[in-house]
Amino acid sequence: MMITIIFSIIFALILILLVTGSYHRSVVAMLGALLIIAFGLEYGVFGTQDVVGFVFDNADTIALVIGSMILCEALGRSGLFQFVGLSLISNIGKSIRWFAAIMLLLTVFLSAFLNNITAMLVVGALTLSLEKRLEMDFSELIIYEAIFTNIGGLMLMISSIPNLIVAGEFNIGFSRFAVVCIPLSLILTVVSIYMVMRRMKTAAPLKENLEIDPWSAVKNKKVFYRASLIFILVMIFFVLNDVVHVGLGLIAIGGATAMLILSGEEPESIFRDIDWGTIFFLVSFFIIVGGMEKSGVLEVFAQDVSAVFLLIPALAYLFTILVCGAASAFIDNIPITITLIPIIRYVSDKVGLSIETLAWSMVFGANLGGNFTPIGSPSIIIATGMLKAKGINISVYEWFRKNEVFTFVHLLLADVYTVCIVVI
Amino acid sequence: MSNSSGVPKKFEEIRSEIEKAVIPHITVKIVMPEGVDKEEFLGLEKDEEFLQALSDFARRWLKKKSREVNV
Repeated sequence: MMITIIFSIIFALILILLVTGSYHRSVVAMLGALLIIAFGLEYGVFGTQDVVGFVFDNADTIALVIGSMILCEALGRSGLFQFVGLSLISNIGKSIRWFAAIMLLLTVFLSAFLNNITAMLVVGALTLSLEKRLEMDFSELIIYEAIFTNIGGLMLMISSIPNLIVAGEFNIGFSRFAVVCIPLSLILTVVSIYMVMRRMKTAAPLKENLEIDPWSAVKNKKVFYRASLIFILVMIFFVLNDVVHVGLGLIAIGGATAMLILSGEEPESIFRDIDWGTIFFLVSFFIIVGGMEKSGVLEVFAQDVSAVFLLIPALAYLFTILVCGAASAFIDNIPITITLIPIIRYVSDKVGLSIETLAWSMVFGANLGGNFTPIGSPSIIIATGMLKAKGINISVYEWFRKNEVFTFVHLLLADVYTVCIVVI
Repeated sequence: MSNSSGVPKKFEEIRSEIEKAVIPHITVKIVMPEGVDKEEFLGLEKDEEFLQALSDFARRWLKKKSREVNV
C-alpha cells in the first residue's frame, strides 16, 4: 500500500514538472526513473534484473525510434524534402489559396516521413523564405502548417513516436498501420484545407509565379539518389515485415546503418544531430511505467477505468481518444502513450474491448490533441517562435479563438472514424 | 507538449539552405581596407544602398565577363 502511494506521488510529481516545463523533459523523466528504481528496490517490488527487463522488453521499439531518427536525419541532409517542397511550389500560378493548399499538403507529406519538429522547420523555413522573396505576410499560413504537422504525424507508423511505440507494443505491422491511419489522415487533410481556403477567400494573390529550380536545394546529387534509394528500400522492408517478421527495429537499424555507410554524410555529424534527449526520455519512461506496472499502481487505476467502461463499453473508444487528446494538449504525448498502454491492455482484458481499436484511439488522440493548446505540440511551439521572431505574439486566447475549431473537427472526425472501425 | 531545445541552430541551417534556393545569393568575405573606420566598415553589412551597389556591380561584372567570352 505504501509503495502504491509513493509511486503515485512520484508519477504526479513527474507530470507536474512536465506540464510546468520547469526542467528539461528528459531530465525530469530520468529523475523519475531513478526514484522509481530506488524505491522499487528498497521496498522489494522488483530486482535489478527487472529494471533491465523494463528497457529490454521494449528494445524493438527503442531500436525503431533510433533507426528512424538516423534515417530521417540523413535523408533531410540529402535535400530530398527541400527538393520535394520546391518542386511542388514551382510554377503554380498566383492563386494564394492554391499556394496555401500546396504548402499544407507538403506539410502533411513531410510530417508523415519526418518527426514533427523537423517537418515544421523545413516547411517553416520554406514559407519564411518565400515570404521574403514575395514581400508578403504568411504568418497565418505558418500556424496552419503547425496544425497540419499533427495530421501528417498520424499517417504512418514512422510519422511520430507515439505511433512507433503503439506499433511496437501491439505488434501492428507497417501496412496495417497505413491501411487504418492513411484514410483518416487524408479525410482530416481535405476537410482542414477546405476550412483554411474558406478563411483565405479575401487574401491577396501571390505577387509572382514562383519559378524555382528544385535542384538548387540539393548539394550532391549522388548523395540525394543514394539516400532516396535506401529510404525506399527501408519502406519496402517495413511493408514486407508483415510477411517475414524480421522485426521493425532491426529493419530501421539496418536501414540506418546502410544510410551511415552509403549516404556519403559524415556519421559523426549525423550522430551529433540525433535527438538523444527524446531517446533518454523514452527509455526513462519505460522504466517508470514498468516499475509502476510491477508495483500494481497502474492496475488500481485500470480497475477504476474498467469499472467506468463496463457501464458504457460503447463509449470506451471515444473516451480514450478524448482523454488521450486532452492529456496530449498539456503533457508530452510520449509518456501519455507509454502510461496508457498497460492500462488499455488491462481494460481490454476485463471489459472485452478490442485492444487494436483502443490502440487506434490512443494514436488518434495522442497525435491530434497536440493542436488543442499553443504548447500542445513541438511544431506549434516552433511556429509561434517563428512568429515571435517577426514580432507577432499569439496569446492563448487568440489561439483558442482562431484555431480551436480545427481540434474539435479533428477529434470529432476521429471519433466517427473509430466508430466506423468498430462497426466494420 | 514537447521540448524543442537546440532547434534554432538547426532552423538557421535549414533556412539558409532553402533561402539560397528561393532567393539565390552569395556570401562573400570582404577584408577591411586600410584607412577606413572600423565601425563604419562593419556597418556596411546592413547598408541597403551598399548592398544594392554591390548587386549592380555583380550584374555589370557578369555582363563584362560574358562579353569577353563571346569575343
